Amino acid sequence: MALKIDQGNDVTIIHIQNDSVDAVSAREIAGVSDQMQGNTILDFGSVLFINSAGISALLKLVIEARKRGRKLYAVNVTAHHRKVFEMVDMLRYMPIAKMEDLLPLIKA
Amino acid sequence: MAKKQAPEFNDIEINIPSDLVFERVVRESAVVVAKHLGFSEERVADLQLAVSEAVTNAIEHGNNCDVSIKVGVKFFISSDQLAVQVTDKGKWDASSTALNDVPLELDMEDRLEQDLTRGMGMFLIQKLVDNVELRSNEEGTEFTMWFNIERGPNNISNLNIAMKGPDFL
Repeated sequence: MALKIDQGNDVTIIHIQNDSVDAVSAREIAGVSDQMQGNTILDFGSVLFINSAGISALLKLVIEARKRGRKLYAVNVTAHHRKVFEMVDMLRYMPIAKMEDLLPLIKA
Repeated sequence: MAKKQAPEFNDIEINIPSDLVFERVVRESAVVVAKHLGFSEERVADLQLAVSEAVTNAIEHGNNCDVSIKVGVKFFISSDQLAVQVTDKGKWDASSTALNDVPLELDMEDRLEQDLTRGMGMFLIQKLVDNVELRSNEEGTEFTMWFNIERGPNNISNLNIAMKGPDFL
């Protein structure tokens, strides 16, 4: 399993433990949408590579969060991945945050 | 600034079965080549992503993930450019317009409303490379991306979509 999921009080933290968010890992990532409870934090700390097939999987999580009126945040994002997310206008829907700034969300 | 000395080798060829797992082989090879040529860390990552997108397209759309058909990748190296050529057995129906139709910006709101999550590969490639060329006929498709070895950071203004025959290095 390349994903570790922590469920908190109205928040879900998804740690992506695969180093590639690509066509091979996309299905597993998109498949966790039904486990998103409350707002969701995606932890990219182990991720070394993201391509458009991987972004597609992330967008499915964005779509699911929007349907539920919930928010999706990204943490531990590299500078290059930030650049790619900006290119595809992803940050409007999955803002990058620092984990410490999201602690109130987790403890709420 | 003195021009970088051309390496002793000038091309590298890799052929992979049309299985997406082997796209990873090509993208990691691209990293090795780019680092060897002295690309900045940022440009290495750009190249890696562009190559990944082109090879993924070739596997999925060119060869329909048929593992009996190979995707070919060639790296051509000169003193000031790296070209990466990706070939598959598919045919672009309108290759003369396909590249010109790639939007300069994505309307993500519109895409999300339509649950449209795929189809961003060519958009990213045009953002990341210095030049591209697409040739397609009944025998297959040849997609070539050029990367200037010395290039200003985040400068995409010199993007030129070439539709003529390649003037190869």
